Amino acid sequence: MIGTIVKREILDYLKSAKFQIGLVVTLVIAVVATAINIQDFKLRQQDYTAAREEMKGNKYEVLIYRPPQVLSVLVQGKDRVLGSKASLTTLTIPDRLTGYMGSRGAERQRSLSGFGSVDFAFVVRVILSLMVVFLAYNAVSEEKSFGTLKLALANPVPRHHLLLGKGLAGLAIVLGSLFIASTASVLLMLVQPFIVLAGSDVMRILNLVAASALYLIAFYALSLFVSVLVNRPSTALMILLQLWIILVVIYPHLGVDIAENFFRLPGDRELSAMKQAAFQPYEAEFNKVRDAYRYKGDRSPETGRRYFELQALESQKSHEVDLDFGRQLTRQMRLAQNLCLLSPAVLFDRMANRYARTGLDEYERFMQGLARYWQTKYLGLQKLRYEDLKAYQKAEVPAFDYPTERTAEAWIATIPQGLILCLMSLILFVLAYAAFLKKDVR
Amino acid sequence: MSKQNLILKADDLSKRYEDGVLALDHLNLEVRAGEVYCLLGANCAGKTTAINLFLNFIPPTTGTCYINGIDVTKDPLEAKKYVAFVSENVMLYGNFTARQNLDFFAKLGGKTALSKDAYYQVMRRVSLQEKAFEQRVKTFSKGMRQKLGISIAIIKDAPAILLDEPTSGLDPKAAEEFLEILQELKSEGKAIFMSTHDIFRAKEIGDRVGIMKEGRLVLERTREELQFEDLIKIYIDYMKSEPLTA
Amino acid sequence: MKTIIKRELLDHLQSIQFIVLLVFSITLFSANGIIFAKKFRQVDSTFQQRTAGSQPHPDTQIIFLFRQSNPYLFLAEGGDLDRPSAYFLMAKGYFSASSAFLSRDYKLPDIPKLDWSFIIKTIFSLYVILLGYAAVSGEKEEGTLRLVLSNPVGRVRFLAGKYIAILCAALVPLLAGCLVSSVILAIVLPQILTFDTVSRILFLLLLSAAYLSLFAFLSLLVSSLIRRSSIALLVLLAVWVVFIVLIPDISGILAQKLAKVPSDYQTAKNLGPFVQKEVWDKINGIQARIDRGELRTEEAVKAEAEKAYESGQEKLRFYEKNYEDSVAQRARLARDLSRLSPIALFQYAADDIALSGIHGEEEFLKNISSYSKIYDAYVMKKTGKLISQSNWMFSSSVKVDGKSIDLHSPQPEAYRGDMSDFPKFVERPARLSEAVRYALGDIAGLLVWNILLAGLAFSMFLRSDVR
Repeated sequence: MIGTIVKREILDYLKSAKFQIGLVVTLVIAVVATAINIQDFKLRQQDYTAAREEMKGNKYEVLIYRPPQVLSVLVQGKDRVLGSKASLTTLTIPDRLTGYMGSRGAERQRSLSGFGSVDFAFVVRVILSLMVVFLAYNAVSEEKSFGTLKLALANPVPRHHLLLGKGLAGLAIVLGSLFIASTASVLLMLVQPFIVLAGSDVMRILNLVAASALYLIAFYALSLFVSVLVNRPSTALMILLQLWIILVVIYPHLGVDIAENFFRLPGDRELSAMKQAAFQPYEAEFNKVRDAYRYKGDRSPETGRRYFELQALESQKSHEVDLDFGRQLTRQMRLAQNLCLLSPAVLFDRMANRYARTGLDEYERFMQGLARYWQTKYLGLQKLRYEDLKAYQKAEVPAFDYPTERTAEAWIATIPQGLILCLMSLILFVLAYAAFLKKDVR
Repeated sequence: MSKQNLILKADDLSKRYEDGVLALDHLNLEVRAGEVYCLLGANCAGKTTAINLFLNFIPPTTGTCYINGIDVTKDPLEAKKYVAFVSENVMLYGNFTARQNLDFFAKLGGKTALSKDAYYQVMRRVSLQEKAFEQRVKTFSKGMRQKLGISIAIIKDAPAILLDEPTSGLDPKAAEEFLEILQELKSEGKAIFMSTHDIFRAKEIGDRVGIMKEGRLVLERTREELQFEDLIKIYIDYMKSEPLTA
Repeated sequence: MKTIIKRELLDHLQSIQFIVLLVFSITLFSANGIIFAKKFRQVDSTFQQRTAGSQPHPDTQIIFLFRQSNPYLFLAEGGDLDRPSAYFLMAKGYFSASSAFLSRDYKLPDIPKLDWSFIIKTIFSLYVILLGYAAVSGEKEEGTLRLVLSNPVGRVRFLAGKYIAILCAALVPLLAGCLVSSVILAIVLPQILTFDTVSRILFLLLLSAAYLSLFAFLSLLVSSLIRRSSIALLVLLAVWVVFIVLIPDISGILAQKLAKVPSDYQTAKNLGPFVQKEVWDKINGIQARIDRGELRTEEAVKAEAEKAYESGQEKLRFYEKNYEDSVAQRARLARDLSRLSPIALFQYAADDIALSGIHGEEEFLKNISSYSKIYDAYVMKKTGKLISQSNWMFSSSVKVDGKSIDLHSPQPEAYRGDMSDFPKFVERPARLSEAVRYALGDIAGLLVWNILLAGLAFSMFLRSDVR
């Protein structure tokens, strides 16, 4: 029985103009966006490899580059805007990355801000979710206004079978469209010779598709619920579109705006004052040692080492202030995210960015790796200069690597978001179910 | 008549809606196999409510409906096996062909393994044009849709058929053809219960005719009785009379 | 026609869309008022702190010029808060954005700020579509169109009535929202609500009316073309997504392809060889020229070194400026491409009016340029010499007639004396008339869209079958 209903529903969807238009639009945008992003990734990858080869820096100023993420082809996230170069000296542990030009090129890059990116995540978040709304808004309401609901229920079919059949068919169509869009995008990636996907990347892509599925299912459940609740299809569509605007546009927006104004962040003056205060206890000694080393020509190993140590200490102290500031920014971001806990779009974004390694989590992991490298390897190298100059001259710049996140970690980190999405869908399905059982079908 | 033949039965059936309107007031009626019962009445007289109650679309306030002896409220799914329904002005699934619609509803009705020919046969029987069999229903006229609606009822092959104003909006020829089909079904032994505004056709086809006013069955006549009475006059009189509830 | 407008308007005013729009509008606009008042206070107090005191600069070597906080940002933020809030200026008109004063708020999602132009361009345009998509197709479906047109009502009048009703139904919540936002701003920041601000608000409202009218025509056009109202809505939403996201985003990417700007990396990589060739070679060439006997005296050598430094300085600046200009050029190309979308036209015009977009920045840079002449004159007066701070320095020694001469890059003299007569930098923001001149092209674009869509909508509706 359910099979019959599911079959009819699926056929009905396949024949409808909304599905055909929606699928074509989705496919075209997904393919074009992925193709553009692949080109963009290729250029960034080339720049990155060339930079590592050619712009090596020296033993004192060590240059570290951040590789572009391969999955940014599907989920741009912040990968493009977070910078790609860090320059380490005894005096500085960078708290942010810059462009290849360093701070000099940074400000003009902003002229381009305001242009976002279109990627697979966008296709899911905006295009497919709209398509889901369009597919499901009249699932029940139209049958009622056409009289077919009465005709169907005049048969020995339990009501919940009818809803279940509709739900299953709708889900099959939604997930089918998602599958087609993601397969097209991923295939396009795979045929590129310069894109090599590791096993973990494939796992992450699967996770990404699963997160997309959860997100779309939540929207489907919402649409089904409204469709059961509201009798006139056009009213149902209006309500759903308005809910969509709230959930995808307005609510996340307000969340960010509230979070941004919730905490008071220290200004640049305050930050530099804090940095000074942190180094205050050593200031006098530092001045003395510096004067001795630089101006009085005291090149004894003790003075040299002490000068170096104090320099390192100063950068460490100011890095701590930077870190604290960074933590405040993170707290602000978390607040924005938590305020938007009920927006499926925000939950989906968090999951997608995590899986694609293009969110702030990955960036912070990189920056932590950088700080650790400075502390353990870079300082060790510089120390040699004062302890054993010959060894220093022979020594190589130690290689930088930072621990990449395992897929399982990303998976565990996104469990809350996934659970909330599941719970949302479940509640909405149950509500739709209850409303349908009680529905007046006259 | 034996009790076996009793297919549809309304027993002290009342329905009061949430807004307090008493749509149906202690209705008692019976329809037997091979009998056509026509329910007449103005709009809002309670005819459609009666049909909705038989199909368990709404729960009754008091009383019980029986289809083939099965209590509709207690076991709606079992009861619905024995009843087919033709609604007023049904739109059907516009993107599907006539046969696909028929196929879908046949399967819902429990007829799972029917051949294409079986569908064609039923559609020929209701004299739907051959070329329309594989056409999308959204191109159909109202008469064609109604014919398809009745063929959906026929293919279910249930002992009872409920029709909610099936001839409203049909042209005279189409309505005549429709009644012929009903006659045939009647002769096959179906119990047919139909609500209508059409007094002439009710008189022509009905074995029994009931008139409803404000939720009450105010009059019931058999075909034999009607031979000596002027149904039209009675109906108009009732319509013109004072409201029952002051 | 009055009857039609009245009925339509009544219909809209009773619809849920209208009520939801009103609620949204008031919520969003009050959020806008509160948030921008808070932000303005914060930015403005920072500005006041930085520029406070009679002697804001310790010496004349290098001075910071701070940007005034823009009081019109609540109209259109235009990326203003992400721009550097300070520039440093050196002698000879060299100035550069200070990366230390860039916005440091990089962890929050990059979403546009909740300004008036954002609310109008996304939420209101969408609602105009929702108000208008069923104007013709819905009436066809319900059969009321036949009924209406069976009366002596011209089709043009019918459609015009619909158009006016849609526009009014959208403008009422807009005005309500704007009023709420303005009242909040007037209470919290009475100083910014000047005649100038009010005239900018009114101008933005006019602009919004033109912008929303275009969407009203668009929905009437699609509604007359497509029989089924749900498909009409689908098509309109697709167009909306194309206008608001696809065109701007794809033009950003296209510009990157078309502009042929060397990438950030290429520019950085070429810097080293460039400096070697254009800057150091001349310094290193001095010894060779001495050996060849071209330079004989110490004075000549020093003058030559200074000349080499000066030209190296200029070339280095030129190299950086070239890069900056090409990036700006690319940004301009991206903007021009995205002008295909009326949403971009509206946004850029709004940015111009609020002095926050690219033109606002250009105006500020012009201010710096004209100030730098005054600054140069002052430095000249106090130190008698104009030397600019540089990104590069050299120190080398050459031998002239067996005598070793140290060569250093010249340093600007730091005048630390009485600076009470130091000319203060006062930013002169562009007047509304200048701002409008910048926006003229975009406004014309919006009008062209209006005329085009109106013509199409009316001709399509006149020719369509009423069945």
